[in-house]
Formats: sequence, C-alpha cells, structure tokens
Amino acid sequence: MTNPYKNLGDNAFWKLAVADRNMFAISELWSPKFHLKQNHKVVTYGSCFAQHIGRALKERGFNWHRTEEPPVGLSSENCKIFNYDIFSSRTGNIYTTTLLKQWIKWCIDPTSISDETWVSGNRFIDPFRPRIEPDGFQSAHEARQSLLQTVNSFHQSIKDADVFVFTLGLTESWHNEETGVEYPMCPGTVAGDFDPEKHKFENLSFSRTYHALSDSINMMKEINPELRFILTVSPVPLTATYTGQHVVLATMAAKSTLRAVAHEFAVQNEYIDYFPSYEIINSPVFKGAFFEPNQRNVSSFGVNFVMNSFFECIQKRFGDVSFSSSPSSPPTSEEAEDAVCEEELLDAFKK
Amino acid sequence: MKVCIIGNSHVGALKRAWDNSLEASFKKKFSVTFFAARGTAIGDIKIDEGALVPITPSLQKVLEFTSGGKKSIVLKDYDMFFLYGLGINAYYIKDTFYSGAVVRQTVADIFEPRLANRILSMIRKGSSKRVFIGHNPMPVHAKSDTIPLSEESYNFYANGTSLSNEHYFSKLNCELVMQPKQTLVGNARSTHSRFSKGSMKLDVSAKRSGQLHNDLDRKHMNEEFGLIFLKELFEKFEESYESEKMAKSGALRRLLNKISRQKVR
Repeated sequence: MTNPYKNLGDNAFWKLAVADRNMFAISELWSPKFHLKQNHKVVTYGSCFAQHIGRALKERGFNWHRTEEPPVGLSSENCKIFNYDIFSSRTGNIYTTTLLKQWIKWCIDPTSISDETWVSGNRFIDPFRPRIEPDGFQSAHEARQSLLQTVNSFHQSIKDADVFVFTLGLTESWHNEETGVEYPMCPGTVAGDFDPEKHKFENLSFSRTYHALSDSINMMKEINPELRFILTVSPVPLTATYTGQHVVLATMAAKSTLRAVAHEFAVQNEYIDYFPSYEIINSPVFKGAFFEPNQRNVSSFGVNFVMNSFFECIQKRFGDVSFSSSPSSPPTSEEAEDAVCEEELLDAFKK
Repeated sequence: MKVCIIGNSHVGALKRAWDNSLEASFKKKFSVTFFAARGTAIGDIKIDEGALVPITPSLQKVLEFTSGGKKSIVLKDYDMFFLYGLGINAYYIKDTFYSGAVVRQTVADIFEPRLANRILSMIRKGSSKRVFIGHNPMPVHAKSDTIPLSEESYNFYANGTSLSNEHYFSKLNCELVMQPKQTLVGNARSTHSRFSKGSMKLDVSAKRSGQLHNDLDRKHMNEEFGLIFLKELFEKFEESYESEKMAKSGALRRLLNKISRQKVR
C-alpha cells in the first residue's frame, strides 16, 4: 500500500525532525525561495527585531544597503543614539503594515507628507520617528527637513534594493482621526500629548494588515519591478496592549495575524519569501530557551541562533555561498537588548 | 594685531613664509609669534596662571626657539590664536541633511580626542579671544595633479566646514578654516604636488634647521603653500577683528545710550 506521505523527507515528520533530535540540532526550518547573494543589495525595515537582520548581514559580509548614512566620523555609539545604521534609512521602527504603507505613499508623493510636529519644552519632535533624535530637533523646520531626508532615502533604498526585508511587528496602531496619519507610538507615551478626541486606536484585523501589505508591495514593485521580499514576524511579545485583553492573548492574536498574513504572501508569490525567525524563537520545540528571564527580550544567544539559521539555510540550499556561519563577534547581551525599540517604553506606564 | 600660532610640524610652512617671503605690508598689520614642535610634543604643556607652560625642558627649548625666546605662551598677550595641524582633519558633508545635533556630535567625536582640543581647552581657561583652527594639509596624491578640482567635492568640503562652524566651533568662539582653494585638486582631498616639493621640516633648534622632508613625504607643504595659506588667514583675522571691534563699539554705544536715557529720567 502506498500513500503520498511515504516519499516525504524527514523534516515533514515531527518524530524525525523534532522529537528524536536535540533542540539545537533542529535545522532546515527554512528553504529559501531565491538565492540571496553577497552582492545583492538588501534593505531592512520593520519592528525592533529587524535591526538584528541588518547587523547580521553586515557581519557576514553581505551587502546591507543603507541609503541614509551617518556623517563620517560619528562614533558607532552615537550612530546608535541618533538611529543611524539601525535600518536602511532612518525610519525608526515600522511596526505595522499600515505604517509601512504610509511611508511608501510619502515617498511616492512627498506632498502628502504630514507636517505635524510635536513640541517638548523648546525642542521639536517628529511624531513619526519620536525617538530619532535623543533630544528632539531645534525647530519644526529642522524636524521637517530631517523627515524629508529620510523619506527620500527610504525611496532610494526601494529603488536600489534587490531584496526588501520587512519584519512585521504589531497589529495595534494609533492614528489621528482628523488627518488620517498613523503614528508608530501612541501620542503621549514616548512624546507628544494624547488627545482622546483625535487620537484613535485600531487593532488591525487580518484583512487590514493583509491589504496594507499588499498595497505596500504593489507600490514598491511599481518603483522597482525586480524587487524581491523576505518577510519575517517579530518573535518579541507585546510590551503592552490596549485591546483590553490579557497581554498574552493580545500577543498571540497579533502574532498569529501577522504570521498568517506573511504566510499568505509567501505562498502566493514567488518573489516573496518568509523566514521563520518567529518560529525559531517562539516554537515550544525550543522551550523558550532564547528568551531573557522576562520571557520577552530575546537573548543574544537567541538572536545569534536565528541569524545563523538564516545563513546556514541559504548555504544549504544554494551551496556556493562562502561566508562564516557566525559573526566574528556575536552580539553581546547588551547589543541584543539594546535594539532600538520605542515600544518597550510602554513598560514605563505599567502600574 | 598680535597673533599666536600654535601647532606641530605643519607650522613649518607658515613660519618659513612669514620669515622669508611675506610682503612687508602684512608685517605692519600683524605681529605673529609661533609656538610649534614636531610630532605631538606640543602636548607636553599645561596652563598655569594664564599662560601655557611647557612641562618638559626639551619642549621649553623648542618653543623658545620657534617663538624667538619666549618661555611660555602668555594668553593675554594675543588678540587672536591659530591652532594648526595637531591631528585635525577636514570635514566633508555631502548633500544629505543632518540635524544640528548630529553635526555637533560628529564634530565632537572627531575633534574632542585631538590634541588641538586639549590646547583649545587650556586657552579657554585663560582667554576668550577668537581661536582659528586649521586642519592638517590635504596630502599629495601625484595622480590627482592632473584632475581639476571638482566643484561638487569642494562644496562638500565647504559644507562640512561651514556646518562644523555653525553647530560646534562657533559656540566656542572658534572657527575652522579651509585650506586655500587654489592649492586643492581632484576631489578636494588632495593638495597639488607642487606645494609639497622641497618642503622643509619645522626648525626646532639651530642644529635641527634647514632639513628637507623625505622625498616620499606627502603630508608636509612648502613655503609657497605657507604663503598662500597665511595671506588667506590674515584676511580672515582682519575680518574677524573688525567685526569684533564693531560689535564692541555697538555694545558700547548701546550702553552709553542706556546710561544717558537713565540720566534724562
């Protein structure tokens, strides 16, 4: 008697792929769809966890393409403080697909860029990158100029890139009902003043998340028809939720939505791939081993394990890639924890 | 106008130009004292009762030689200071927008570990007079000689200098000066090789005078370079001196007007 399961590889069976193995020997979780070569220009954006991908690409000799670079001479410590070399341009975290869509719309039509600025003391804050400068800007004009530079650099990165890596992070979003703009963070948390009349919450549904990502990808393909995508889902749980649910439920709902959206895109399009950083960190198979004791932050060991898996899978699939499977200096615990993540600031509002 | 020039080996080109080829008209307007030592030896100095005082006998001898007999740099004796070389490099900022804070921090990251900053900090303990700063000369790359100066690259250099002044040096009553345009070639990061031909080491004693730099030296410039540099520098000094005088007389006028208004009341 025969059946279609008989010809499947070991990876298709839990016993062979998981139960009979040491958890650190579980491998080949990803079979890359396309060959990521070291000379390919890769741009990275998204939620906090996306920061590790850019850094890992650079450390392994891949071409992490940045279109908004720091001035020559700014120390690496201050580059981080001023949010250079975090993503391919200085967008700050793009947590939701709707926020990604907003950035792309701005770069296609710069006249649509919001001119909203927040005032804090005698400094000015860019609501769309509230922590981009540690002390804000010296004028609204300066904040605006800086945002225009980033929009331009973001646009350039889409034009230049061979591969656009996007890490989906959240479904919870805040927007201004009067102007329609979305903020990466709820006004009044990191900066700004919360106005319940105009600042509204939305927990994006599967459909909203899917359509925003679909629009984003279509717009990017118009800018750069050859562009390919790698989607990932941030494995980092929510810092806080405004849904009224327990934060564990809200996290699982959000991640499941994002994961399902990423899955849909990856199965429907040959130019879109999904890399399972979310599963590597979160799957029960790994027994939470990659989390710090707060069960939220991913440890440097976890980050390194994920990124090693990324490169090993490419090597396994395409073979001809010559790079070290580990960086010369794996991220320290501090580096892993130091990912620039505005969302974590919500922790300050716990009772 | 009494000018104090402090620096390292690069001061040699300026001193030779001052001693040998600068027109007398400049010497009527300016009195210049040079305090310079080769390498980083000028770092062996401390501030003591309003003067920069060498802390090693060897530096003391060198400074006495270059300054024509002065044992220390008495800050109140000078209207203007110029720090030259001392590990400072040129700043270039392309047409990317950077916030003032980013520029300020970048200049701080580059400038603050340098010897020039240490000397500037000591000067500021005893004088609020204007300090000009000149970066190391751009090195010579013989291949660049035939490449005309790119205006775009020069603008990046001018932009970097101007933004550094706006966001950092001006707050310290300092000004970073640019290398004269006519000495630059190619991408504005090279000096034409004719300005390094025959360059001589900084004279630091009667015995250690008149020594040519090694033929392979690409970093030190000659007297011709020094002359062009000094003339541009003196123009800057004059402008600055005049504007400072005008600012002072304006402030004095305002003060007198205020006093006279108070008397009328």
